[in-house]
Amino acid sequence: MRPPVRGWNAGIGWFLATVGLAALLATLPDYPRFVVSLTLVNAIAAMGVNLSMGYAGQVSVGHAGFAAIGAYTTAIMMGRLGVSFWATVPVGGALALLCGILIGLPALKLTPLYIAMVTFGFGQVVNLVSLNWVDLTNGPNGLPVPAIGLGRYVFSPESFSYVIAASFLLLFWIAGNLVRSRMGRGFLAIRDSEVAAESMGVNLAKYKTIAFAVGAFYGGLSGALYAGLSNYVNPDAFIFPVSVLYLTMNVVGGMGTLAGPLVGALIFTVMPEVLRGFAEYKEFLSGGLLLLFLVFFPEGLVGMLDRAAEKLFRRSGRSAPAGTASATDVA
Amino acid sequence: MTEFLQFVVVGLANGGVYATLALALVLIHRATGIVNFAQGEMGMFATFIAWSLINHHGLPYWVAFFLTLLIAFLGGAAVHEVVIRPLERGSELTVVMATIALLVILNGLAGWIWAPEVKFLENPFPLKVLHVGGVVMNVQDLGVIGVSLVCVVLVFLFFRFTRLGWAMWATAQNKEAAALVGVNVPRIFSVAWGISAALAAAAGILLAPLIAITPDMGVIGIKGFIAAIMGGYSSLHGAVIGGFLLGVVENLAGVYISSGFKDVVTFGVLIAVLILRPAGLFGTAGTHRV
Repeated sequence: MRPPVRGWNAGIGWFLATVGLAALLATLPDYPRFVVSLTLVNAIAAMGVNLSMGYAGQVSVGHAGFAAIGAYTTAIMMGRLGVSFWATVPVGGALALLCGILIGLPALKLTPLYIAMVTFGFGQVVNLVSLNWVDLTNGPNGLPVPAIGLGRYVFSPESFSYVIAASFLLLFWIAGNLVRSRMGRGFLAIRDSEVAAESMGVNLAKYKTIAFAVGAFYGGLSGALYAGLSNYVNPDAFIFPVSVLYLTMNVVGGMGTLAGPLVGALIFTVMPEVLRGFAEYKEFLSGGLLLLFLVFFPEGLVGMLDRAAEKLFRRSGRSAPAGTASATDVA
Repeated sequence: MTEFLQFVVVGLANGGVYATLALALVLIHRATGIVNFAQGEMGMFATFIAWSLINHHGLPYWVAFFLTLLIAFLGGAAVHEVVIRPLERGSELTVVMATIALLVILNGLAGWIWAPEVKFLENPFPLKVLHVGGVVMNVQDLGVIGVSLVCVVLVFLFFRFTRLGWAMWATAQNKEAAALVGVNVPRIFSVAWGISAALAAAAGILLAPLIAITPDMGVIGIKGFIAAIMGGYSSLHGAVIGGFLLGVVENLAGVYISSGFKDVVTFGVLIAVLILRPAGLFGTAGTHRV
């Protein structure tokens, strides 16, 4: 792995990313701007999957469940209790985080296959509850989300897109720092070998629980922002294929790389819009891409680019295995 | 009381379908050590094939039934050879994700080939009812229970009395040792996938007259999945008992609690089993020491 970019270079990078994103949102017409916002919302959820699964090796095939919790928390608190949007977002994130911990606790003693089943079951239960608890969620008809304001100001779809962009940049920055921290190194160690990690003094119970919690938190925040973006929340937005899509974004973009989820989210949010005429083949296409990348390009697009760049520059004498960061490289 | 028994019989009919699917899942897991998320979709796809054979090629029901089972067997073995085998060197999770990809692909493919309109499969059993001691039973329900029991018994006989069955058992116990004594392990895995796909096909076709055939009927795989977990995910008889139990519990919950929350109850059972007793009712695997 290339050494992390710090200091002036990093500052310039962040400045350019912020300005570039703002310029993009300011110049785009309504619909493409919505697609960009949706891409960022999806990327946040995919980053959650990436933190749990790509870095810490804790599989999640029910991440839409966490997003649903965030989205419904916002819709219900705003619509029924009249709470401000800004207060509902942290509550939604916290509730999702709590669910992540509750799932993470039994998962400590389960094999990866069983964790896959637990997270899958969790996603299904959340979806079924949102469908059937009509008094709370209005069932299949879904809930409208009231207009979002701050003081006297009422957000337009355009101004709200800046909120989403700012949230994304902040969460991306946090994720980047997290994976380079002591905790991030612990995650990687657990992913690569639990036994080795524990023998090196990594507290498995603590780190695995945190990995689940952080991933779930990102999922919850993504859901809350989605509620604000679409002004409407219904169970169909959080069905199992959505969880699969978050997974696919990571595999195609590059699991265990920082930019992977963003690249994947971009591809799988924009693709259905561009390929309107191919709506029937959409599922087939994303399933096919998932399989294709699993079999032939397991490091994903970003991982492949990383490797290509490394070959080109030969900054260090050794190359990272499979294009993704490994514990030994970072430590 | 007779009313209660009636609901139990209806539950057992659904349970037969779940048991067959659960058996298919456990078979793949025992033999190859992975969880196949695409099991329900494999059943769905096979059901569409059966529908085509009957409605486009004019085959009689039972001919189409067995032909579909054969096609499903070959398809399942092909899936193993083409998709799963190249990934077996990677981690378990990669294989599991590949089965999820398979789920999405089969679902999309079925929608593509067989268009969106809903299809129905004829009911092979006479539309009659039997009265046994005051309990009214549908011949169709009894037929479904009967056929699923035949499938189950055949699988058990296969393991008990055939060389291939013994070889599969040995492979499940210890892959390396089985290979050492001359078992062709990759072929055993392919056969396991084939049998498993055929079982899923049987479950799908049995279910078809009870519901409409759509690409989304694959969600029934989830029920097989829960049944397998209830049974312990590594025990064949556990899967069968789990399947029938789930069918009955679900039906009773639907009648006596609320039909809307029927599925919530089943998933509640799933999460409770996974958290409190991941080894299920009969299983031994699932947990590991940290």
